[in-house]
Amino acid sequence: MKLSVDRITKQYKNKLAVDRISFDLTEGVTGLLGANGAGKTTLMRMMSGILTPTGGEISADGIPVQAESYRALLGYLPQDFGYYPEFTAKEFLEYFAALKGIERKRAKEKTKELLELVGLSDVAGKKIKTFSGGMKQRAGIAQALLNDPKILILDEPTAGLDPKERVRFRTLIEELGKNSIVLLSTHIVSDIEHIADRIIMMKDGALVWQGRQSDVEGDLEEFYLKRYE
Amino acid sequence: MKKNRCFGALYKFELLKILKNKVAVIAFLIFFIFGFVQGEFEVRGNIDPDTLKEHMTLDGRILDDQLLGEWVAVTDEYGEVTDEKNIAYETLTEWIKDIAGYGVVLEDINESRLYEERLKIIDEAYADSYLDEGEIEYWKAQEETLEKPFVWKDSFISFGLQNGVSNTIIIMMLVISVSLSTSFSAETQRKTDPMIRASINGGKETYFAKILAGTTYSFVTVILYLGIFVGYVAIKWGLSGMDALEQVIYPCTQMKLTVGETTFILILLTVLGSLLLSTATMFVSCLLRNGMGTMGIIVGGYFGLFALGTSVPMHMKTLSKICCLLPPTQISPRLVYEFRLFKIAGHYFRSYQVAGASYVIISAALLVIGYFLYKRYEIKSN
Repeated sequence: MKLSVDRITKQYKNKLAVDRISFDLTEGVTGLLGANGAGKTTLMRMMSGILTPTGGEISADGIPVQAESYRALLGYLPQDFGYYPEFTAKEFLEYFAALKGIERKRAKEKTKELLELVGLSDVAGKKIKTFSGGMKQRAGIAQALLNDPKILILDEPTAGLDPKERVRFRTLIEELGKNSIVLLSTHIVSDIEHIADRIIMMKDGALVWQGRQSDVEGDLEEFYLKRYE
Repeated sequence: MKKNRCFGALYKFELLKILKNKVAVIAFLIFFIFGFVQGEFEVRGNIDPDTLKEHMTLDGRILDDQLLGEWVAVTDEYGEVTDEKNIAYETLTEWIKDIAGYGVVLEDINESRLYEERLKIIDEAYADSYLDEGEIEYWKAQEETLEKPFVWKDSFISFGLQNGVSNTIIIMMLVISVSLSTSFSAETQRKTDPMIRASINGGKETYFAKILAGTTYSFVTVILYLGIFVGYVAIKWGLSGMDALEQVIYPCTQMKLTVGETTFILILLTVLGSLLLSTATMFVSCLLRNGMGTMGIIVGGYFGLFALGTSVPMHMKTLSKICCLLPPTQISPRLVYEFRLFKIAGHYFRSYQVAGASYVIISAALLVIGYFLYKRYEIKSN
């Protein structure tokens, strides 16, 4: 599968949030690096089909981002996402399974499987409002994986995770990247250092560098910081 | 590959969101209890329940000179019942005064004078309502269908029942505004809308699941409440008087409706009015994406429309007629006193007929417009 982002632009009244960015992604993990306000979230929202670009096109194997069939391929975890406090983890995932068009029996199986995968099966029947920040984040990650997405867009997915959970998450992403396109945004370099095949760096809405990790000279963090000088 | 809409599951979860809203549950429970309270006090007010049966002693009597003669005998010159033993004549007193006037000497009242006074009041109402010739002809034809003299049935219970039913709409407005104001806004305020909109069923299916869940909640709540209230009245006080003409409560109406039929009209308008309120609330929630703002608009708008409906002068015929169709002003037992008609395709329709149909039409329009708003809504930042 090829995910094409072609001269994507998002212009707000007083700000150019994303400035004619182009890249292609195939199966594997791509890290999207950039400081706060670089335009990563705006880009990811456009790639998730929830924000209309001012210009440019996004498509996956020719399927435009606005198409329903694109959303069928997509798993999306926003930055700072919400939940329903009175829903249990199980209800939360079953609800999102319905949103993703997964029929009831399969939804129950997949919910159980994912709760196990993210380490929440013991608290499946508990209300999400009782969860810690890390537990909520894991529920969010599980939600993004419900429909076995071919395109997985994760916006700051490791926020709130403790170091052990971070390592576990990286292993999961690495595994997913074997068969899916994974785009993961972060401003924590170590999150992607060991798992990303490709890196895209953004600054002030523009793409400042893209390439394979192997093309990075020396330490990734130093390379990244140099780009922002 | 065919898309699995999972509409049933989405509907179930949208209902769950409403039912898990603590404020909505508390409002519903208060409403539920209020049904019993209203059933008790709306009918009897402050009077002793045992005296209610005595009020019905005159039921079935013809409102003629004989009954009026008896009434004069047990009342003073101004029509007040002088002895507690004659409590059955109290409601009749109010009925006669509604026609003949308050604070006037009534000791020489008779059948012919009473019915003439009634027609004089109706003629004044025609003038006050700025009726045209066609409308007047319509009502005169209706008058011909009424069997006179009227048969008396005490309206203590039926008056309370109709008032209680018509009060339901204001309570529903409060319950609906509290329970459904967050139907769309919560997704924005909770920051769940990016994940929803990025899902294959996050568009049309989610919108209609929310609408169906909201209208289901509203429908079940209003039916349950009316069931409790009417059921309580029926069991505690009985439903006597339902077969009497509405003229026993509102003497100057010319509509040939029984008390039961008028009560049914009020119930139907309350259900349809609740449908309108729920679709309006969800529409505003979708538009504003703010729960408190939505509640403010619905509650403020309701009372504002009531004020508008009662203050627009009658000579502004079209505006006044339209304002009177709205739930705050229309859903009242006094709809039987609305003489103004709507001429549609050469036929005259009464305001309650047009009101009911318009609530359904406006609800449908709000649903359609709301859908386009929902589709076009962009999640810019959360």
